[in-house]
Amino acid sequence: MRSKIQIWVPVLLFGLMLFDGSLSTIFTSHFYNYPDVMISRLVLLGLVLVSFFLPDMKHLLLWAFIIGLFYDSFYTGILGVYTFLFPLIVYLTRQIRVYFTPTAIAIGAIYLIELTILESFVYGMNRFMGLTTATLANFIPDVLGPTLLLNLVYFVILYFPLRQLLLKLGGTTV
Amino acid sequence: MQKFFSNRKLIIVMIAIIISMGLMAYSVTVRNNQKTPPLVQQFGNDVVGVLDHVVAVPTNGIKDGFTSVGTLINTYQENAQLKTQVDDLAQTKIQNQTLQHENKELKKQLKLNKTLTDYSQISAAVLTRSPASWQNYVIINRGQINGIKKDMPVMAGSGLIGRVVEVNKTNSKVQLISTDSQTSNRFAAEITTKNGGTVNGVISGYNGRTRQITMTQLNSNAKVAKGDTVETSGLGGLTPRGLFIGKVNLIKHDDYGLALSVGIEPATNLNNFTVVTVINRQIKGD
Repeated sequence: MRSKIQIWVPVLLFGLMLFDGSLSTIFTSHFYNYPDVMISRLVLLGLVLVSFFLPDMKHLLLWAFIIGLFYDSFYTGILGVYTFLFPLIVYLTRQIRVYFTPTAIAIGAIYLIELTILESFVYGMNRFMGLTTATLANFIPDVLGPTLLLNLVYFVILYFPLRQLLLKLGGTTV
Repeated sequence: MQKFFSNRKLIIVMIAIIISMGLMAYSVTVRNNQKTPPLVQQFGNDVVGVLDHVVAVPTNGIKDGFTSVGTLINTYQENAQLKTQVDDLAQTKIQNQTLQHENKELKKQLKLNKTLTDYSQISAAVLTRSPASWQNYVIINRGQINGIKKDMPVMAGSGLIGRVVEVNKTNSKVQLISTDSQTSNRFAAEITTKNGGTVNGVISGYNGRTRQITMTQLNSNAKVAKGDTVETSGLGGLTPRGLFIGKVNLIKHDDYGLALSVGIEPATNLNNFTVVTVINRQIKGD
């Protein structure tokens, strides 16, 4: 049972990462409707749900690190941003998951908070490297707001299917 | 709180931050100086690029299908409009051919082999778009083995859309002209005015609110008018001369009142293209 998780969870996360890019391609004119920008973060949804529903998955931090490394290399070419933010998100989720009963509302709230943390860090790092000139006053309404909205929609649509899938992988029947 | 900030964890966090900063600094230097990322990273990107076909090909296919159905509705009208243009075009094409021929002959007489306007084209399809919006990257399915080099300009439809920033073996990253990054390379451009003169300037950014490309550092007494065409000037780097960028839409003095700043309506929709053309200048720069 355990080996099944070890194989399929990384595949799932990797697939979600590629879908992020493809969705951004398909809906380019909707996601990048300047000045409003929505960033697709399916992979983060995957990471949060995996840390919630498969607590005994081994090496999840390591996988988050590897996925982050590929994400950086393939999508941005700047190593070291998602490489460390993805494990951080996993670590944070694992730390706080014990204080909550895993209901959709609680996980959704945690997901949005972690998304905010991730986006803010990413923005900060890009600003630091001079890769963007957007100010904080532009970032919050133009990027953070629409991004939270889009990913909330993802969450609503994908929460139950992903949850069923993960529980099935974990060997727990619902 | 104790759990979060025990000594050992703090050290791990510190080390992670330092490594992260180091990696970032390293990547930025590689991007600014070298032609390609290190071989390991290239290999990783190529593997992901190949795997991405599994996801990207079907989804892009679906998108194309929907677009075809969408365009089918106004095909009749479009056809009627295009028919009137075709007659015009045939004449222009013949004229163009004659001029090109004449130009070649004249160049031969002058013993000029290649000039700034000579270039070859490499067609590529858009594989995926970087969801990390800060970069404005598009990933295309052609790389080093197809002859793509860093800093080559990229066109889609009739207009310039950006330039290649990173080349792997089988795929490469294109930075769109709509970026507001301070570190990206800029295009040297020229405006052809109504009386036939040219005015030089630099494409310096993109205004998201008005969706116009900004061109600055133009001579302030230049006679630029709305509707003038803007194209690359071929000065500096790997860009040939005469790649269409767009039309002048807004003219104003820059923040210091010393030079003109111009807003350009892009020739191509920067958010809707699936096929791009990478331009390879024949005359070598630098």
